[in-house]
Amino acid sequence: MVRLKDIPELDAQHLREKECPVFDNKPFISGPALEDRRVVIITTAGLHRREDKNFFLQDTGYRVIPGDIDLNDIVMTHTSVNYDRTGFQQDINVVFPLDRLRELEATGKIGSIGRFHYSLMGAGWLPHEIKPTCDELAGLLREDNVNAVLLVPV
Amino acid sequence: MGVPDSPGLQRRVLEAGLGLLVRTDVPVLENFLDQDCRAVIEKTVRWSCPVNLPPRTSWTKYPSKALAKEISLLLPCRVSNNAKTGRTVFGVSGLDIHEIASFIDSFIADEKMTRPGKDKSLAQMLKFAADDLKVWYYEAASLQPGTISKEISEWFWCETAAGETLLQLASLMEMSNEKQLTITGTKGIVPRDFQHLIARVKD
Repeated sequence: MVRLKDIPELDAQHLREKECPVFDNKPFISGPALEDRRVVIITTAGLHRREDKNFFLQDTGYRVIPGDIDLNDIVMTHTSVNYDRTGFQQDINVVFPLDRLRELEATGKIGSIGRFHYSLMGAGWLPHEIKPTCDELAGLLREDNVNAVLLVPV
Repeated sequence: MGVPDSPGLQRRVLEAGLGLLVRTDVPVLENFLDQDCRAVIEKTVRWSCPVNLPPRTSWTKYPSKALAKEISLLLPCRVSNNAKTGRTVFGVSGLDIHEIASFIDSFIADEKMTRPGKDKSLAQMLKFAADDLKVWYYEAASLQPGTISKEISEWFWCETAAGETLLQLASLMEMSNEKQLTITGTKGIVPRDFQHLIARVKD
Protein backbone atom coordinates (compact mmCIF):
# COMPACT_ATOMS: atom_id res chain seq x y z
CA MET A 1 0.00 0.00 0.00
CA VAL A 2 1.44 3.34 -0.99
CA ARG A 3 2.07 5.96 1.70
CA LEU A 4 0.00 9.14 1.68
CA LYS A 5 3.14 11.25 1.46
CA ASP A 6 4.05 9.54 -1.81
CA ILE A 7 0.89 10.48 -3.72
CA PRO A 8 -0.36 13.89 -4.95
CA GLU A 9 -1.69 16.08 -2.14
CA LEU A 10 -5.24 16.28 -3.54
CA ASP A 11 -5.45 12.49 -3.69
CA ALA A 12 -3.98 12.17 -0.19
CA GLN A 13 -6.52 14.66 1.14
CA HIS A 14 -9.33 12.73 -0.53
CA LEU A 15 -8.20 9.52 1.20
CA ARG A 16 -7.78 11.23 4.59
CA GLU A 17 -11.41 12.31 4.40
CA LYS A 18 -12.64 8.72 3.95
CA GLU A 19 -14.67 7.32 6.80
CA CYS A 20 -12.78 4.61 8.68
CA PRO A 21 -15.17 2.77 10.97
CA VAL A 22 -13.99 1.27 14.23
CA PHE A 23 -15.11 -2.33 14.71
CA ASP A 24 -16.18 -3.74 18.05
CA ASN A 25 -14.70 -7.16 17.46
CA LYS A 26 -11.78 -8.83 15.72
CA PRO A 27 -13.33 -11.21 13.19
CA PHE A 28 -10.11 -13.01 12.38
CA ILE A 29 -9.69 -16.75 12.26
CA SER A 30 -6.66 -18.93 11.95
CA GLY A 31 -6.21 -21.30 9.02
CA PRO A 32 -3.86 -23.90 7.61
CA ALA A 33 -0.24 -23.30 6.74
CA LEU A 34 0.48 -21.45 3.49
CA GLU A 35 1.63 -24.68 1.84
CA ASP A 36 -1.92 -25.97 2.25
CA ARG A 37 -3.73 -22.88 1.10
CA ARG A 38 -5.73 -22.56 -2.10
CA VAL A 39 -5.34 -18.93 -3.14
CA VAL A 40 -7.19 -16.60 -5.51
CA ILE A 41 -6.85 -12.93 -6.32
CA ILE A 42 -9.68 -10.47 -5.88
CA THR A 43 -8.81 -7.15 -7.45
CA THR A 44 -10.71 -3.87 -7.31
CA ALA A 45 -8.75 -2.43 -10.23
CA GLY A 46 -11.59 -2.81 -12.73
CA LEU A 47 -9.73 -5.49 -14.68
CA HIS A 48 -11.40 -7.92 -17.05
CA ARG A 49 -10.90 -9.99 -20.15
CA ARG A 50 -10.90 -7.97 -23.33
CA GLU A 51 -14.18 -9.55 -24.49
CA ASP A 52 -16.00 -8.91 -21.19
CA LYS A 53 -18.32 -6.00 -20.54
CA ASN A 54 -16.48 -2.82 -19.56
CA PHE A 55 -16.98 -1.35 -16.09
CA PHE A 56 -18.73 2.02 -16.07
CA LEU A 57 -19.79 4.43 -13.33
CA GLN A 58 -21.44 2.68 -10.34
CA ASP A 59 -21.02 -0.89 -11.48
CA THR A 60 -21.34 -3.23 -8.49
CA GLY A 61 -20.90 -6.37 -10.57
CA TYR A 62 -17.85 -8.58 -10.83
CA ARG A 63 -15.94 -10.13 -13.69
CA VAL A 64 -14.48 -13.63 -13.69
CA ILE A 65 -10.84 -14.09 -14.65
CA PRO A 66 -9.95 -17.74 -15.38
CA GLY A 67 -6.93 -19.06 -13.52
CA ASP A 68 -5.21 -20.08 -16.74
CA ILE A 69 -5.68 -16.71 -18.45
CA ASP A 70 -2.99 -15.20 -20.63
CA LEU A 71 -2.30 -11.93 -18.80
CA ASN A 72 -2.05 -10.12 -22.14
CA ASP A 73 -5.81 -10.61 -22.50
CA ILE A 74 -6.60 -8.39 -19.52
CA VAL A 75 -7.63 -4.73 -19.84
CA MET A 76 -8.72 -2.13 -17.29
CA THR A 77 -11.89 -0.02 -17.35
CA HIS A 78 -11.90 1.32 -13.81
CA THR A 79 -14.08 4.41 -13.94
CA SER A 80 -11.81 6.57 -11.78
CA VAL A 81 -9.14 8.61 -13.50
CA ASN A 82 -7.52 9.58 -10.20
CA TYR A 83 -4.95 6.89 -9.83
CA ASP A 84 -1.78 6.05 -11.63
CA ARG A 85 -2.12 3.42 -14.37
CA THR A 86 1.38 3.52 -15.76
CA GLY A 87 2.54 0.64 -13.57
CA PHE A 88 -0.32 -1.54 -14.79
CA GLN A 89 0.48 -0.64 -18.38
CA GLN A 90 4.10 -1.66 -17.92
CA ASP A 91 3.56 -4.80 -15.88
CA ILE A 92 0.17 -6.17 -14.88
CA ASN A 93 1.70 -7.95 -11.88
CA VAL A 94 1.72 -4.68 -9.92
CA VAL A 95 -2.08 -4.90 -9.69
CA PHE A 96 -2.76 -8.54 -10.53
CA PRO A 97 0.25 -10.60 -9.42
CA LEU A 98 -0.74 -13.87 -11.06
CA ASP A 99 2.73 -14.61 -12.45
CA ARG A 100 4.16 -14.29 -8.94
CA LEU A 101 1.40 -16.46 -7.50
CA ARG A 102 2.12 -19.13 -10.13
CA GLU A 103 5.78 -19.05 -9.09
CA LEU A 104 4.85 -19.55 -5.44
CA GLU A 105 2.66 -22.48 -6.43
CA ALA A 106 5.44 -24.02 -8.54
CA THR A 107 7.87 -23.83 -5.63
CA GLY A 108 5.34 -25.23 -3.18
CA LYS A 109 5.14 -22.10 -1.03
CA ILE A 110 1.37 -22.11 -1.48
CA GLY A 111 -0.78 -25.17 -2.02
CA SER A 112 -2.64 -24.27 -5.20
CA ILE A 113 -4.32 -21.51 -7.15
CA GLY A 114 -8.10 -21.39 -7.49
CA ARG A 115 -9.86 -22.00 -10.80
CA PHE A 116 -11.04 -18.42 -11.07
CA HIS A 117 -10.04 -14.98 -9.87
CA TYR A 118 -12.48 -12.11 -9.52
CA SER A 119 -12.42 -8.43 -10.36
CA LEU A 120 -14.53 -5.54 -9.13
CA MET A 121 -14.42 -1.85 -9.84
CA GLY A 122 -13.68 -0.25 -6.51
CA ALA A 123 -15.26 3.16 -6.85
CA GLY A 124 -18.60 4.88 -6.65
CA TRP A 125 -20.40 2.57 -4.24
CA LEU A 126 -20.88 2.29 -0.49
CA PRO A 127 -20.23 -0.90 1.54
CA HIS A 128 -23.90 -1.88 1.84
CA GLU A 129 -24.33 -1.52 -1.95
CA ILE A 130 -21.53 -3.98 -2.70
CA LYS A 131 -22.45 -6.49 0.01
CA PRO A 132 -24.71 -8.70 -2.18
CA THR A 133 -21.85 -9.05 -4.68
CA CYS A 134 -19.44 -9.98 -1.89
CA ASP A 135 -21.87 -12.57 -0.53
CA GLU A 136 -22.14 -14.13 -3.98
CA LEU A 137 -18.37 -14.17 -4.39
CA ALA A 138 -17.96 -15.80 -0.98
CA GLY A 139 -20.20 -18.64 -2.18
CA LEU A 140 -18.16 -19.09 -5.35
CA LEU A 141 -14.92 -19.19 -3.37
CA ARG A 142 -16.34 -21.79 -1.02
CA GLU A 143 -17.40 -23.98 -3.97
CA ASP A 144 -13.80 -23.90 -5.23
CA ASN A 145 -12.41 -24.77 -1.76
CA VAL A 146 -10.51 -21.50 -1.61
CA ASN A 147 -9.11 -20.71 1.82
CA ALA A 148 -6.94 -17.67 1.12
CA VAL A 149 -7.77 -14.53 -0.83
CA LEU A 150 -5.30 -11.96 -1.97
CA LEU A 151 -7.22 -8.69 -1.94
CA VAL A 152 -5.44 -6.27 -4.25
CA PRO A 153 -6.82 -2.73 -4.25
CA VAL A 154 -5.62 0.17 -6.39
CA MET B 1 2.35 -4.09 -5.62
CA GLY B 2 6.07 -3.58 -5.85
CA VAL B 3 7.57 -2.03 -8.95
CA PRO B 4 6.91 -2.92 -12.63
CA ASP B 5 9.26 -5.50 -14.13
CA SER B 6 10.82 -6.31 -10.75
CA PRO B 7 9.69 -9.90 -10.16
CA GLY B 8 12.02 -10.45 -7.20
CA LEU B 9 10.65 -7.47 -5.33
CA GLN B 10 7.06 -8.36 -6.26
CA ARG B 11 7.60 -11.88 -4.95
CA ARG B 12 8.93 -10.57 -1.63
CA VAL B 13 5.93 -8.24 -1.28
CA LEU B 14 3.58 -11.12 -2.01
CA GLU B 15 5.29 -13.52 0.39
CA ALA B 16 5.27 -10.87 3.11
CA GLY B 17 1.56 -10.28 2.55
CA LEU B 18 0.63 -13.95 2.48
CA GLY B 19 2.80 -14.48 5.56
CA LEU B 20 0.35 -12.34 7.51
CA LEU B 21 -2.31 -15.01 6.98
CA VAL B 22 -0.73 -17.34 9.48
CA ARG B 23 -0.16 -14.73 12.17
CA THR B 24 -2.24 -15.20 15.29
CA ASP B 25 -1.58 -11.82 16.94
CA VAL B 26 -4.37 -10.23 14.92
CA PRO B 27 -5.27 -7.72 13.68
CA VAL B 28 -1.90 -6.91 12.15
CA LEU B 29 -0.71 -3.90 10.22
CA GLU B 30 2.87 -4.28 9.08
CA ASN B 31 5.23 -2.01 7.23
CA PHE B 32 7.00 -3.65 4.31
CA LEU B 33 10.66 -2.92 4.94
CA ASP B 34 12.78 -3.76 1.95
CA GLN B 35 15.94 -1.83 1.14
CA ASP B 36 15.79 -2.94 -2.49
CA CYS B 37 12.34 -1.41 -2.90
CA ARG B 38 13.55 2.17 -2.38
CA ALA B 39 16.67 1.43 -4.41
CA VAL B 40 14.64 0.23 -7.40
CA ILE B 41 12.44 3.33 -7.26
CA GLU B 42 15.33 5.74 -6.84
CA LYS B 43 17.46 4.31 -9.62
CA THR B 44 14.77 5.22 -12.17
CA VAL B 45 16.15 7.89 -14.49
CA ARG B 46 14.26 11.02 -15.46
CA TRP B 47 11.80 10.63 -18.30
CA SER B 48 11.51 12.83 -21.36
CA CYS B 49 9.28 12.63 -24.43
CA PRO B 50 10.81 10.34 -27.08
CA VAL B 51 9.97 12.75 -29.95
CA ASN B 52 9.55 16.50 -30.35
CA LEU B 53 5.86 17.33 -30.64
CA PRO B 54 4.43 20.50 -32.23
CA PRO B 55 4.52 23.35 -29.67
CA ARG B 56 1.34 24.77 -28.17
CA THR B 57 1.79 27.96 -30.18
CA SER B 58 1.12 25.99 -33.36
CA TRP B 59 -2.31 24.77 -32.22
CA THR B 60 -5.56 26.28 -33.35
CA LYS B 61 -8.55 26.65 -31.02
CA TYR B 62 -9.55 23.04 -31.72
CA PRO B 63 -6.22 21.20 -31.77
CA SER B 64 -7.40 18.40 -34.07
CA LYS B 65 -4.62 18.92 -36.62
CA ALA B 66 -2.02 19.00 -33.88
CA LEU B 67 -3.56 15.83 -32.44
CA ALA B 68 -3.29 14.05 -35.80
CA LYS B 69 0.31 15.23 -36.13
CA GLU B 70 1.16 13.99 -32.63
CA ILE B 71 -0.34 10.59 -33.38
CA SER B 72 1.72 10.24 -36.55
CA LEU B 73 4.89 11.24 -34.67
CA LEU B 74 4.28 8.93 -31.71
CA LEU B 75 3.09 5.94 -33.74
CA PRO B 76 6.58 4.41 -34.24
CA CYS B 77 7.29 4.80 -30.51
CA ARG B 78 4.14 2.95 -29.58
CA VAL B 79 4.81 0.18 -32.09
CA SER B 80 8.33 -0.25 -30.72
CA ASN B 81 7.18 -0.18 -27.11
CA ASN B 82 4.46 -2.77 -27.71
CA ALA B 83 6.98 -4.98 -29.51
CA LYS B 84 9.32 -4.62 -26.52
CA THR B 85 6.70 -5.38 -23.86
CA GLY B 86 4.71 -7.87 -25.94
CA ARG B 87 1.41 -6.47 -24.75
CA THR B 88 -1.05 -3.61 -25.01
CA VAL B 89 -3.97 -2.56 -22.84
CA PHE B 90 -5.37 -0.30 -25.56
CA GLY B 91 -8.74 -1.20 -27.09
CA VAL B 92 -11.54 -0.81 -24.54
CA SER B 93 -13.46 1.49 -26.91
CA GLY B 94 -13.26 -0.90 -29.85
CA LEU B 95 -11.97 1.96 -32.03
CA ASP B 96 -8.56 2.50 -33.58
CA ILE B 97 -6.59 5.60 -32.66
CA HIS B 98 -7.64 7.56 -35.76
CA GLU B 99 -11.32 6.76 -35.17
CA ILE B 100 -10.92 7.89 -31.56
CA ALA B 101 -9.38 11.22 -32.56
CA SER B 102 -12.10 11.77 -35.15
CA PHE B 103 -14.93 10.78 -32.78
CA ILE B 104 -13.82 13.07 -29.95
CA ASP B 105 -13.02 15.89 -32.32
CA SER B 106 -16.44 15.75 -33.98
CA PHE B 107 -18.12 15.85 -30.54
CA ILE B 108 -16.09 18.92 -29.56
CA ALA B 109 -16.72 20.65 -32.88
CA ASP B 110 -20.43 19.82 -32.51
CA GLU B 111 -20.46 18.25 -35.93
CA LYS B 112 -23.09 15.79 -37.02
CA MET B 113 -21.31 12.55 -36.30
CA THR B 114 -21.83 8.90 -36.87
CA ARG B 115 -21.62 7.56 -33.35
CA PRO B 116 -19.68 4.30 -33.00
CA GLY B 117 -20.60 1.61 -30.49
CA LYS B 118 -24.37 1.47 -30.85
CA ASP B 119 -24.70 -0.81 -27.83
CA LYS B 120 -23.18 1.84 -25.54
CA SER B 121 -24.37 5.28 -24.48
CA LEU B 122 -22.65 8.39 -25.81
CA ALA B 123 -21.13 9.01 -22.35
CA GLN B 124 -19.75 5.47 -22.27
CA MET B 125 -18.25 5.76 -25.75
CA LEU B 126 -16.63 9.11 -24.97
CA LYS B 127 -15.24 7.79 -21.68
CA PHE B 128 -13.78 4.63 -23.26
CA ALA B 129 -12.41 6.62 -26.21
CA ALA B 130 -10.77 9.10 -23.81
CA ASP B 131 -9.29 6.24 -21.75
CA ASP B 132 -7.93 4.62 -24.91
CA LEU B 133 -6.42 7.90 -26.11
CA LYS B 134 -4.55 8.24 -22.80
CA VAL B 135 -3.41 4.61 -22.87
CA TRP B 136 -2.16 5.00 -26.46
CA TYR B 137 -0.06 8.05 -25.56
CA TYR B 138 1.27 6.47 -22.36
CA GLU B 139 2.27 3.34 -24.24
CA ALA B 140 4.13 5.46 -26.82
CA ALA B 141 5.76 7.56 -24.12
CA SER B 142 6.82 4.48 -22.15
CA LEU B 143 9.32 3.56 -24.87
CA GLN B 144 11.72 5.99 -23.26
CA PRO B 145 13.66 4.45 -20.37
CA GLY B 146 12.98 5.84 -16.93
CA THR B 147 9.22 5.98 -17.12
CA ILE B 148 7.95 8.07 -14.22
CA SER B 149 4.20 8.33 -14.02
CA LYS B 150 4.14 11.86 -12.60
CA GLU B 151 6.27 13.21 -15.42
CA ILE B 152 4.28 11.42 -18.12
CA SER B 153 1.03 12.71 -16.64
CA GLU B 154 2.31 16.29 -16.59
CA TRP B 155 3.56 15.93 -20.14
CA PHE B 156 0.24 14.51 -21.34
CA TRP B 157 -2.03 17.08 -19.67
CA CYS B 158 0.15 20.17 -20.00
CA GLU B 159 2.06 19.71 -23.24
CA THR B 160 0.13 17.55 -25.69
CA ALA B 161 -2.74 18.35 -28.03
CA ALA B 162 -4.32 15.09 -26.87
CA GLY B 163 -4.44 16.39 -23.29
CA GLU B 164 -5.84 19.68 -24.49
CA THR B 165 -8.48 17.83 -26.52
CA LEU B 166 -9.60 15.87 -23.45
CA LEU B 167 -9.74 19.05 -21.37
CA GLN B 168 -12.07 20.51 -23.99
CA LEU B 169 -14.08 17.30 -24.06
CA ALA B 170 -14.50 17.29 -20.26
CA SER B 171 -15.48 20.94 -20.28
CA LEU B 172 -18.23 20.35 -22.85
CA MET B 173 -19.51 17.18 -21.18
CA GLU B 174 -19.75 18.96 -17.83
CA MET B 175 -22.07 21.54 -19.39
CA SER B 176 -24.34 18.96 -21.00
CA ASN B 177 -28.00 18.61 -20.04
CA GLU B 178 -27.64 14.85 -20.12
CA LYS B 179 -26.89 13.54 -16.61
CA GLN B 180 -24.59 10.68 -17.63
CA LEU B 181 -22.52 13.01 -19.82
CA THR B 182 -22.26 15.55 -16.99
CA ILE B 183 -21.15 12.97 -14.40
CA THR B 184 -18.64 11.39 -16.76
CA GLY B 185 -17.29 14.75 -17.87
CA THR B 186 -16.91 15.95 -14.29
CA LYS B 187 -15.25 12.86 -12.82
CA GLY B 188 -14.29 10.46 -15.56
CA ILE B 189 -12.02 12.23 -18.02
CA VAL B 190 -9.53 14.52 -16.25
CA PRO B 191 -7.73 13.50 -13.03
CA ARG B 192 -8.26 15.57 -9.88
CA ASP B 193 -4.73 16.96 -10.07
CA PHE B 194 -5.30 18.45 -13.51
CA GLN B 195 -8.91 19.63 -13.19
CA HIS B 196 -7.72 23.22 -12.77
CA LEU B 197 -6.56 23.16 -16.40
CA ILE B 198 -10.16 22.92 -17.60
CA ALA B 199 -10.58 26.60 -16.75
CA ARG B 200 -7.88 27.34 -19.33
CA VAL B 201 -9.83 25.81 -22.22
CA LYS B 202 -13.02 27.62 -21.19
CA ASP B 203 -11.34 31.00 -21.77
